[in-house]
Amino acid sequence: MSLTLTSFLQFVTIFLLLSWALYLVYRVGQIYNGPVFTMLIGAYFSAYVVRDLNWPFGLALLTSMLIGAVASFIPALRLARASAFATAIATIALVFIGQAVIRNLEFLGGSFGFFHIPIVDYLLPTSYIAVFVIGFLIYRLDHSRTGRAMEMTFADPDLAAAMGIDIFKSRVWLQTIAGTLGALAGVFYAFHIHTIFVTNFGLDMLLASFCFLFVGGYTTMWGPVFSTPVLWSISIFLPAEIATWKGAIYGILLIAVLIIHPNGIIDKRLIRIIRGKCQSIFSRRANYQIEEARNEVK
Amino acid sequence: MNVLLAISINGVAAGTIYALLATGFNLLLLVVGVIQFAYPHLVVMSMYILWMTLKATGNNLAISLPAAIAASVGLNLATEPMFRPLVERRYLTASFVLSIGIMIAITDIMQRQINNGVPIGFPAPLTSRDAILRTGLATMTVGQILTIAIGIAAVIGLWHLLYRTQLGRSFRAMTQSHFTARLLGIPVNKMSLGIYSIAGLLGGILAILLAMTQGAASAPLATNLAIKMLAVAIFAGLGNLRGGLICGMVLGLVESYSLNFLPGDWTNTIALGMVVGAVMFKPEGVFSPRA
Repeated sequence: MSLTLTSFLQFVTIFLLLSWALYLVYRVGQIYNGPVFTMLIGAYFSAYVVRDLNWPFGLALLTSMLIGAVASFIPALRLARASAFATAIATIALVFIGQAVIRNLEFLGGSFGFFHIPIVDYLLPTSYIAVFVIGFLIYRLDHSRTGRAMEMTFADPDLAAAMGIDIFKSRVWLQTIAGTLGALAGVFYAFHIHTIFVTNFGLDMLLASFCFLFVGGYTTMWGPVFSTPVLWSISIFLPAEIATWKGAIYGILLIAVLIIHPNGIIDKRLIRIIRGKCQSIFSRRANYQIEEARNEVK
Repeated sequence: MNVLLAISINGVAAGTIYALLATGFNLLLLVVGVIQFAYPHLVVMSMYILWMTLKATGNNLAISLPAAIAASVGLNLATEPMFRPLVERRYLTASFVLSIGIMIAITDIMQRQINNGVPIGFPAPLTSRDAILRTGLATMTVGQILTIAIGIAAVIGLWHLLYRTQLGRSFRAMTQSHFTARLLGIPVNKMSLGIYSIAGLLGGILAILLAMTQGAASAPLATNLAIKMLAVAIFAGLGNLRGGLICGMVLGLVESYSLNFLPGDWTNTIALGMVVGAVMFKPEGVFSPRA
């Protein structure tokens, strides 16, 4: 596999994890940027323990996820009660505080970056297995009672609370899960690019994930699955003259989608239509096969 | 003592900039119902237009300064049709996401397309570092004096407009409910355009003041200002003009002192720590909201 394709596939998993992390918390009406904060923690922690302390990669990955979960759970106890906008700003602030802390820690390379992160065999298959497992779990969550409660909370938090849904608890857990996914994305990122700088985990990363989520569609988990590879391919597969406008294209797409189709390109209606079409095709084929079998019997 | 005075002057000048940014942001939020996170990006884009006009006219300030203000008003007005469908559907969160889209696009243009992505520097007539007032080590430049004076005048002027005029009463009616304001005969769409123009005017003035005090502009400056603006707005309480002014000043001073007295690069962390603390322990802001 070519290096470009490997890199493309790897970045798709990283941004898919990040977009899903944002998606989960947005489902309960909060804009949560914590995943980029835990991504920073996950990337630096795993890189440090594997390179300098010789930990095995698997252990570093699991520990990073645990640290990401703790780092998002503690602020979540307060942030779960804040408004969507306040949560967005406070978590952006956490990203910049994290950057400032690492910039002042010399053993992590400070502003100069953390170099020579070891190569890990099977990083790409590992990350795809992780994405499939997480995707399956999110799908199950979406189609469970909790998923319906999340949808209700997004539509009307007051009504959801009146119906007995514990909004605080669901927000805390979803923020924790999102933080864990962020840390996981951070580990994959660090071991893919082998050199990390604090500036990698900033607003650019956040804005790109936002774009993938809202352009793809925030009402189902399939939105980012569609938009992440499509939008990420702009910078890799398109001619250089177009690729230099990547940021502007992302921005304009985001604006256009929000004005024309605020739910994003892939929404629940589209999923229902696609499912209906697939079912009708399959049922037509099944009917045809039954008809054929009957004719053979005759 | 002189050092302390010099640091304080720098802090107040920076604080006035933050306060003005928060004022423009709060105006759009209060009256139109839009979370315009990209407001500082429009200000910095106006700085770029100022730089281009200066370059094209051979540093002619008489043409370039009005051009920067006009550009800022134009840029802010251009965002109005984008936000309008969301305002009509009362999608406040979506307006925040849309402003992120504007931010991404503008950042990319500044970072890659203008001056080959290299930060721009303003010429001497605009960025004079000559001290007007001098007390020992403490000096005050034209830019600093103008920033503080214009900042305070702008906030007083806005306060007068909002609370002492008929127009202001209409604006305040819109903050309560666009629907009711329309029923009362207030031309809501026209008024919204007026607020965008005022925010743009404020942005244009800010662009000039920033060019005078900073002497340079770049995409990271816009991001940095956006963070500070939100820090002030959240800490003061969203939509609070008076609180925004006070918190802007406080942030400028705290930042200036920390830059001089703390080791390492902790200035942003203090501002951001204030935001996290405010959201976690006093989500409605230090001052009561919409005072």
